Amino acid sequence: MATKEELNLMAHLIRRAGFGAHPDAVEAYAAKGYGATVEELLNPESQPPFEDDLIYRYVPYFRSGTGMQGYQAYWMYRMISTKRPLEEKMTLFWHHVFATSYTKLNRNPQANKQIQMFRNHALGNFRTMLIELSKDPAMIFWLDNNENRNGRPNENYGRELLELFSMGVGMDGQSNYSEDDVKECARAFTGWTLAPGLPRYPYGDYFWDFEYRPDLHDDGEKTFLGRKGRFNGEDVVDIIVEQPSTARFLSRHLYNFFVADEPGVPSWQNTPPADPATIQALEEEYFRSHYDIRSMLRVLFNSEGFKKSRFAKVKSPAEMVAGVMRLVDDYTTPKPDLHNIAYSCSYMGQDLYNPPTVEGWHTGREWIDSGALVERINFAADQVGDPDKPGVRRLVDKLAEMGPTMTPEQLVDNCLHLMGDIHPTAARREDLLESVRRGGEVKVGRTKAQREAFAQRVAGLLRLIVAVPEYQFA
Amino acid sequence: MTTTVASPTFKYYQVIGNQSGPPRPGFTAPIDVALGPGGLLHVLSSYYEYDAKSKFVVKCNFNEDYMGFFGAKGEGDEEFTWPNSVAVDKSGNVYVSDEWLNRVTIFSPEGKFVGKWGVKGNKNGQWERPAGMVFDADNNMLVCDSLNHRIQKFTKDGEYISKFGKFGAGHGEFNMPWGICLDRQSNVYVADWRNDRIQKFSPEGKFMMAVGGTGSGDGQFNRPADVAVDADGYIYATDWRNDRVQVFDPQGRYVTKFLGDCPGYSKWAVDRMASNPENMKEQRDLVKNFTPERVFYQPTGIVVDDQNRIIVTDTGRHRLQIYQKQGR
Repeated sequence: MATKEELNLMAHLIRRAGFGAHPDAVEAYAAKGYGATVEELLNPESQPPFEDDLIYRYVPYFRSGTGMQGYQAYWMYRMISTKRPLEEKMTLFWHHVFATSYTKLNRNPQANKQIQMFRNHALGNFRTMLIELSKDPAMIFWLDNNENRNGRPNENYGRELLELFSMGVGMDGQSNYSEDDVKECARAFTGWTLAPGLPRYPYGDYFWDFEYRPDLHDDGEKTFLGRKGRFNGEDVVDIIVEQPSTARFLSRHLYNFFVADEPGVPSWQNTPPADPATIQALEEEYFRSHYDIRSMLRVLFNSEGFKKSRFAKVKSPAEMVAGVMRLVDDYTTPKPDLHNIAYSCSYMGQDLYNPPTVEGWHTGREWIDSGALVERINFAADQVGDPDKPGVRRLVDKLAEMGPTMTPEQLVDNCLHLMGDIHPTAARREDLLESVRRGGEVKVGRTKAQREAFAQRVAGLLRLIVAVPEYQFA
Repeated sequence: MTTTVASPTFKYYQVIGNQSGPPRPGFTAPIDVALGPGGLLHVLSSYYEYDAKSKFVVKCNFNEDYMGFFGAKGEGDEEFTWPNSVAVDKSGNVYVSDEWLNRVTIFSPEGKFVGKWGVKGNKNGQWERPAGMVFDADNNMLVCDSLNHRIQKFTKDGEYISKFGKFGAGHGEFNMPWGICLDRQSNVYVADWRNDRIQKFSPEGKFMMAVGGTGSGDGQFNRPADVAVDADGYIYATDWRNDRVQVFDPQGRYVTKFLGDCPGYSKWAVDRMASNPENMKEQRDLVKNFTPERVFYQPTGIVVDDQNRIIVTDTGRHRLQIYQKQGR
């Protein structure tokens, strides 16, 4: 049986490498051991696939709909119900890095197809990912590469590929590339365009296809990052992935997403990593594995820096919503009105498929403002405060197994442990204790009415726990 | 001695549809179709859950006359949450099964709420997520009881009569059956959804034949949603996730497949597009590949009428695609 510390470490891993889990699931992971669980997460194909057929049967528009609300609900359902949590978490990671908004595309299925591409390559090779990204019709339209042609280059994609998608503007106080490199990069991607799809009406949305147009490509010699040649897009990507700056950029992104909140990307040129040892280990693995994301994540999750980083990150709205729903075990199987759950994520400030700019969302404490905090607390409190939710019911049962009576301290501390080993300040813990004390002696009871009263009491305490500031951290 | 039997041929007949909800003529993700008296088409749409106007039944005919609609999204008497199937009895009353509400809702031929029945459970006469429905010659209803993995027979008022089948992949077993139909001899055909096959049973529920298997090759299925049989015993099945319809002869041998052949705009679509023809032309002039407009996308419901017209709900394209058998 796992020790309390092993359970707490496992809860940390599942919050970060996934979206959190009910204590029952954490115990099951812990029984397998930390190393084995890391490998299971890194190899999602070892777990049952997501049951697309089932949700498409009940909610047909999740497959073929036109409205964005459907795709947001569909993706949220995947985060809540997947048995391959790291695959979905990495899909979200790439959406953060390669931020593309559906509002410009006005083709919602195309935006969803990009997310599926991220999912397909979520744990694969970074070179492959950059090639697929450069061919992705949603990205091509988002950054105007369909207007990038020989003699009339549009530098938008070429610039962001270097600045926001692979190298970053600089590191260690130095620039990573020049303005001329941006221009040459853009020239290499001339002719990488899309074939327009049919209009939406009268029969619904169609997909665009990637199209390479040799007649629009600038086949002349280019000089890029000190090398000369008649480079095309693939050649440029080959040069990019060899750069130390790319290793640094990707390592810092992974660290920021999985370990601890870092300053924003624009400041990375002059702000060194907070944990240089972990970043260096990730950079070395990047080159050793020949740009393999899975290998980098293996190093990351097994690092001491990661294991010691508990509650060092503010949960993103997607993590908050999916995590609460997984805890209460609701919408883990198909159920109507999933869009209402997805709306909550938007209300908290993360409108999936619609990052505010190509820089993506500002993370960390910037997730929290007074409005977002109220949304977060209300959402979580409504869910955990309902003892009829299957996950809450199982939490109540777990507590009831601990004895027929318990002190207020035991009830509060056991609930804090089951919610993921949350450590509120002494004053806030005292507030929780006081609320329990006001309800009198804590008795589990034997009759149905007594058990129901106990369940209501636990649910009331859980509502208060999700309102403590410490619950906002993962 | 070898006997060669010529296969029938098929030609494209018609497209009806347009992505639009009431009161404009159109469908939004039509998932099933049933024939009523006089060949009237009853088309069940199930689209957005956040729009009350996205779940409804439209009545129309082959002339593309729009004859009204009824229903909306919700849990009230006249509403649907996860509507799955539509059937019409001899009097023209319309029945809609709902997998979330675990009920059948009955409407008059004019679309007025008449009643509802159904009890969630796994005892005789109860069900878990009722799906495909069909009336037999006695005006009794056979229903796919999808999560109990069986077929149940009821009177049209919901009184239990009999059942057959259980969970499994063997002969006579089911995994979430969806569509159901009868042939002229009252044999029963079931789209055995998660077993990727069509099964045929005698009127008493005795196993007779299975067609299919998992895959995308000819004669294989990826989640068949519905099945229909013509007067000669030819079997038509919507191969839901392979985006096609497959045809089998009465012995269950693969004959051909339809991938979708929509030739362009339906009458309703023409009317709709007439409001802005220049913009539409401009957009379409940029397009090189029109195949996606022709082919099926998520075909779900299927029915054959007495003129051998094979009517398919092309769910992802908000239309009906209709073929016709030409004889042998």
